[in-house]
Amino acid sequence: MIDFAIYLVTVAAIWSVLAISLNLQFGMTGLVNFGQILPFGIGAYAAGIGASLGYPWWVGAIAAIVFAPLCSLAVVFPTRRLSQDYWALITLAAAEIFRLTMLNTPSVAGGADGVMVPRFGSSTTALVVSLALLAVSFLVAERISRSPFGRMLRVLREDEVLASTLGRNPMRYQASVSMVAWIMGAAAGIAYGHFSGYVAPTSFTVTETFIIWTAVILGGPGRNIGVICGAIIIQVLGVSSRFVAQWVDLPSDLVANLRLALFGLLLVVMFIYRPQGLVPERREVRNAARD
Amino acid sequence: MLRATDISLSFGGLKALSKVSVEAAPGAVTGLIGPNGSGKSTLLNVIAGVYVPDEGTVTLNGEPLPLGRPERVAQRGVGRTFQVPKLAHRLTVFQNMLAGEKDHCGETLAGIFLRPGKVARQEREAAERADSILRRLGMAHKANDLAGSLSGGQQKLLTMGMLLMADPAVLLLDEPAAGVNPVLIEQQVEFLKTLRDEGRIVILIEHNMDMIANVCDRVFVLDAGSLIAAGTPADIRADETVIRSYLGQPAVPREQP
Amino acid sequence: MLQVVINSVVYASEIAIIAIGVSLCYSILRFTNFAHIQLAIVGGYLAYTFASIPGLPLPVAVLLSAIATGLIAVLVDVIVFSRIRNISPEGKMIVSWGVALFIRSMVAAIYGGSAKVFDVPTEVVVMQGAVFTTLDVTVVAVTLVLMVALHAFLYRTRVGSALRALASNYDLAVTRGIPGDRLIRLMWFLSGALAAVGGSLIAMQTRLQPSLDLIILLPVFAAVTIGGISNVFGAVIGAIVLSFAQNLLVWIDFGMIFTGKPWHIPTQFRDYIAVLALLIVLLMKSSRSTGGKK
Repeated sequence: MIDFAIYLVTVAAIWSVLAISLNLQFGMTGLVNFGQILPFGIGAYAAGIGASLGYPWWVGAIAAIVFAPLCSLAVVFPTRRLSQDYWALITLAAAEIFRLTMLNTPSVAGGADGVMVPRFGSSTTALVVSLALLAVSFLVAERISRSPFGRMLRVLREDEVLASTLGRNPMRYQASVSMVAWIMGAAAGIAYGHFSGYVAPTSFTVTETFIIWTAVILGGPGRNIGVICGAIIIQVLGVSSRFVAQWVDLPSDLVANLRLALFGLLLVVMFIYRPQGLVPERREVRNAARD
Repeated sequence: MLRATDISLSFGGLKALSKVSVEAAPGAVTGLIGPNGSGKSTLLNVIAGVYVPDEGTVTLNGEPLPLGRPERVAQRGVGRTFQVPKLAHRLTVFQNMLAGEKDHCGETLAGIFLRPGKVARQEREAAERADSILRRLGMAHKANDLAGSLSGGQQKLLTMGMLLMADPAVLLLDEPAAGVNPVLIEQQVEFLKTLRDEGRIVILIEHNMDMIANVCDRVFVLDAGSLIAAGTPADIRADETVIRSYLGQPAVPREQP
Repeated sequence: MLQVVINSVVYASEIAIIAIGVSLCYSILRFTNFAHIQLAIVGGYLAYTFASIPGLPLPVAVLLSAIATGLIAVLVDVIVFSRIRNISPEGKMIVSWGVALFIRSMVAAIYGGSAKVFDVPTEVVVMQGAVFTTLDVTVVAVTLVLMVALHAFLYRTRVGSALRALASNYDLAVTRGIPGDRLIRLMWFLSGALAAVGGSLIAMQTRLQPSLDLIILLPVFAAVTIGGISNVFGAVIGAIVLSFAQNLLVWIDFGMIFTGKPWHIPTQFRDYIAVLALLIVLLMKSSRSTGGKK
């Protein structure tokens, strides 16, 4: 039972970091990123490929942490002047291209079979690392959220033209926040790689990106605690549905698909009927003594 | 002194502006009027850096403005409003005001993580300034309301307040009185007069002729992309070409039967 | 070379039928409907189900599937998209992904993940050194017929003109008395039906499996982008350009040209070409819109 709890908390922590990384981009800044699984994949594969090449764990980790934000710049800079539709498409294409590259280079990335990654010493280590990662990500994201920088991100979300009227260059902010978000995503990927021990392209499809989206929309776009709640709920649903499957003796494939269908339903219903999510954004109240 | 010289701009086949020259002096309110489609907003957009003109330059105190880069023009001290007020609707009035703060060291990642003390200090100073501007505008009691919940007129006042946070040398105002009730218009007029007295350059696009007459020192009249008249409000009111362009015919029949 | 042309035309046909639905939707509702791909998958599976009814000829099965999928598309609009007509385009895109996730998962839940093969009688034809099948011919023929029919519908009927009016200026068209809601439903029906035909044809050419959506995702959206997202028949042109680019680049012996040893771009990298084409077109668009945005 304890083992199971440790497993659940570890997975929930990793997905919470992913949810926070998307929250920074979409919830706070309004960037519609349909490829957030990409930095996650970079982290996981860097861990795996680094290990398969014989390097110690930190080489892959550093490579991912450096490469992911550079990737984000490559995606943000050239295309930001385009409309949202096209930009979203580019992020989607970028993530898909990454997955296809991993799938089609068996010599480097193991192809469809994936790569093995050396696991953490024990499940407790995995838990501690993931929780530490979550704590750092949360603190960073909160600091950003409550700062003037975060305020300007939200202005960008509401109206980009307003930001440039106020003398700000939108691209600088979008690039900064993207880099931070992608570093977080990559870190989550590294943790995931060492936690699961195995990394394959099937874990990094568009579907996974939208599980992160469901967590953000469900939990509360713009509110870090909210999206953590969303991620936890998603994971609990995932785990409990597996229990239900065993109990009621349904094939696990079927249950997995029904679960995904539920996520899709949640995404739609929440966005239409409660777009602020379960835990809405805080309204910053000015309480100076005035009169 | 703001000078726009010989500005010409075409969109596709449409000539929006033809060699228009205007100038606006500090400590004065300069009006820009003309029928719909005459190019007033387009000229404002050129000065604000949104459009790059096909010909012509805009200079502020002799230095050319970086046209085509609105955020850089804004950084040179040029603030502008829009016909439909641009605000962050889901943020509070106070947050919107703070967003107007110029060169906030708290808007960089380095600043918020490495210099929290400095950021907090600038935030406090900005908050005080925002407080005083809101009081000046009579909106202090609305500080914690969402900007989207304000009436149209109040939103327009708020946008002007946001501009003021950056202490701009130039203010470009696009129809501030449109759709605003007379009481708030009065407030806007008083506000514009104080801006003028503070030595700023104010350029005002308006259809509200009372406001123009009340507050402008100099008025430029555009029609179909060309400058057709310039002078004091009294000059303009009496100018035949102006009257004809607005009404399509002389205001007073020339011959008595 | 003839082989390249044949392959390109066949592939372009399959992609075009599906891509047209995306442009149709965008031209009227002004958002990129990512759930559209899933309609193609649904169409393929429904055609398979209908085709397994003993005695039902395959073309009828596809027709039934087209009608059913069209109705499903209308249902999706009624349940979901009609409630969000007034939210931002980004919001609609996000919701469309939720719908896509739901549809895809339900299809996989109902039919299972294993691949299914259509029982299509087809013969191989060899002509002047190029190889193709009678199914290929059917695919191209069906696409041509549908394109011509769609064009005639949009440009020579009153209903079609009303649709085009909605696309060019929705509010104006509605004030002129055009029934916006009803025509939107019609648009969804057409989109869904076309997607179903496209999905069925692709499934017949390859195999039917839920992951088909990932296989056609990039090419369809690349085609739509190349042709201009709001340009209905532009999607067809985009599909043709994309298909030729892919097949040509895979066919050219780059090895011989540069090093004297034969080397081709591996066919798995066709998708890279799709994305590259997409990027080039978008970068060209973005450079055209600098210094003068409204």
